[in-house]
Amino acid sequence: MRHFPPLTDPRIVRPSESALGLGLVTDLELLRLKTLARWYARGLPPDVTWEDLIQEALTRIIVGKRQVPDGVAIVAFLAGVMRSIRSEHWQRVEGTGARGRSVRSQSADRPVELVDGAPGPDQAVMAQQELARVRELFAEDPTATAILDGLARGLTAEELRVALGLSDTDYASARKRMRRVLLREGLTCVQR
Amino acid sequence: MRSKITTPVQRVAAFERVLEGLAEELIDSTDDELLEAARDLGMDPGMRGSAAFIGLKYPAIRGPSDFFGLPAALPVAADGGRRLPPEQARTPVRKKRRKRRGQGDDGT
Repeated sequence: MRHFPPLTDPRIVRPSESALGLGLVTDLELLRLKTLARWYARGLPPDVTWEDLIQEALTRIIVGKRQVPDGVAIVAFLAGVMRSIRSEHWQRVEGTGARGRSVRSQSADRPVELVDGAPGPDQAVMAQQELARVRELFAEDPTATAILDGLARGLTAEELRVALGLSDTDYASARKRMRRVLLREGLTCVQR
Repeated sequence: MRSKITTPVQRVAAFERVLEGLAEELIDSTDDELLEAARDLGMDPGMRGSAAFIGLKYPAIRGPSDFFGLPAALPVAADGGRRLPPEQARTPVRKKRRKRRGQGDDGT
């Protein structure tokens, strides 16, 4: 991943500023992207920040590496780009780990790749820690915690609602409460 | 309802599902919800220089401790910015307000 300079120099024009200037995104879309970038930065090593994710995603669009299809909302599209940057990071890390774990075959003196696509221990530990932190965000809301557990098990929205015995209205208001917590967490200036 | 998630693959898969499910909520949030959340934090995105845009329009606020690994929590002494060791660092005591002559307990 491209690492941007610390961005403490106000003379450096950030990709987010360029995107605003070019009219690719509005102020509110940029803020929503910030919440998504902070969200997708969860479970990544501390040297990969939310700023890296959002600025890299915007750079890919500005330089034409990724093109926004007609009829697709820019926020949804950029969320997808950030998601792929995130998985690229883990693929790169796992690729390096797999090369380290590769063994020599008995017959020929050639390395055998052991890449099986499975997450490594680092990713598993970070995922577990981060899942615990996400649960803490909703610790005061038992319905939201139950929704989280359902999501972790792979239930769909309707399955969740039925499993929790919630009416459509109750489920919608639980989601609304969760959105508010997520947005607040995404807008904060606190570095994780 | 909480099920046991044991293997690394299961842990990562569970986390990714939560991440994706809640990312959808962020994508689907309305502008009003976004502005409400900003107001909760005391931010006004419409204001020039709003803290909401730190890291986007404005550089992230970084202190010397980000670059030099200084113990940022230690108080800095007034003379020349020398950092006091923890045992010397005291919380400043607030001076008691003195009553004016002729003033009663109720301040009259």
